Amino acid sequence: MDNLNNNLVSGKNILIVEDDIFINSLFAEKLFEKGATVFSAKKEDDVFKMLKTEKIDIISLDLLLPGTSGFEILKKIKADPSTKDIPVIILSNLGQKSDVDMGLKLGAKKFLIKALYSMDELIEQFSEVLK
Amino acid sequence: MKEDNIKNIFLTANVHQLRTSLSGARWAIESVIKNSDCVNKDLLTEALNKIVYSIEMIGEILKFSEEDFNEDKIKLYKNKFYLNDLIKKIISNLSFLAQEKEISLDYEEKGLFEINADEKMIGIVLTNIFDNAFRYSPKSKVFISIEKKDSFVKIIVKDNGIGIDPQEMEHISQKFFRGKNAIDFDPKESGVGLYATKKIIEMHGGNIKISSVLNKGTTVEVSLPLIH
Repeated sequence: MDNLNNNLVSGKNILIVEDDIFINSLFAEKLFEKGATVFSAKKEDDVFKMLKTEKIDIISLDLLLPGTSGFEILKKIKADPSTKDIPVIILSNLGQKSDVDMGLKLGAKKFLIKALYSMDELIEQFSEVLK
Repeated sequence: MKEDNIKNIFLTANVHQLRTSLSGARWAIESVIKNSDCVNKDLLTEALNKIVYSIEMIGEILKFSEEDFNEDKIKLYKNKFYLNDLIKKIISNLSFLAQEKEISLDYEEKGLFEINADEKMIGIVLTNIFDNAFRYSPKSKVFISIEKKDSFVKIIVKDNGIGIDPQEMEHISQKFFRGKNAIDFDPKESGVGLYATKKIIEMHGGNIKISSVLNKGTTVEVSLPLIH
């Protein structure tokens, strides 16, 4: 049974930018179970392709990505008027203070260390931002 | 102390790998437990508890280390030593990898070179560079040479491997960057190594130059000041 208060992902379009296939599929499956529509990308080109063709409600962004970094992608998202208002949550397994500061400074709503959360807890965090 | 500084440099990469593996395991088991058909729920719950505990332990380890790779926090402990000896030792340490990747190694010393440097740090740097050469150019030749260039000793490592895309050259010593070629080739390695390598060399008053042709090979040149 879902507490309506902490599952606001239902009906939303969520873009997951994640390098690890295993983690991506687990999280996507969970979000799907909770009623979200999930889009996945790990390369920069694919991220911006998705943002052009789909109406994304929230972006989950990893930092360590092939051929680029999450910070670069975040900068570009915020620089584009058509995407700058989409909330971004950084989901990384790095978490040095300088990275967190940078992420928040670049405009991420939250910086979460994946390993510290169960998937249900992550969905609560996402719901908080979607409120 | 010296040991802590060295651990800190590569802590970031290892922490990330550990956390990524544990996240995957944690979420996978959570998914299975939530499934109403789940048998052995108690056993799986116990496994999950141990994984969460492991994740917490990583956090504890980090608390007592310097989190940021910050050159102001890194101290160099220098001593005089012969670069020739260090390089031979590293090559010997990497012989298992060289065998696994079927590397044919050519090593040439154009002189005897004594430097005043942090031997452990330089060892880590050169190990990183040699390791890259072996890892990303399997079944081919790698040339390592040392020679005098003005008041510097130049270490040249040339491989015939996968190379680096010219568009990515600018970025390769940024903290997290891994070239697309390297990702396709060996997705498990993280990109923190080259950033740390560059910092350590520069702190010694040296420099590092990397040139590469995609799918043809890479040449890395490290220069370090000789003792006057």
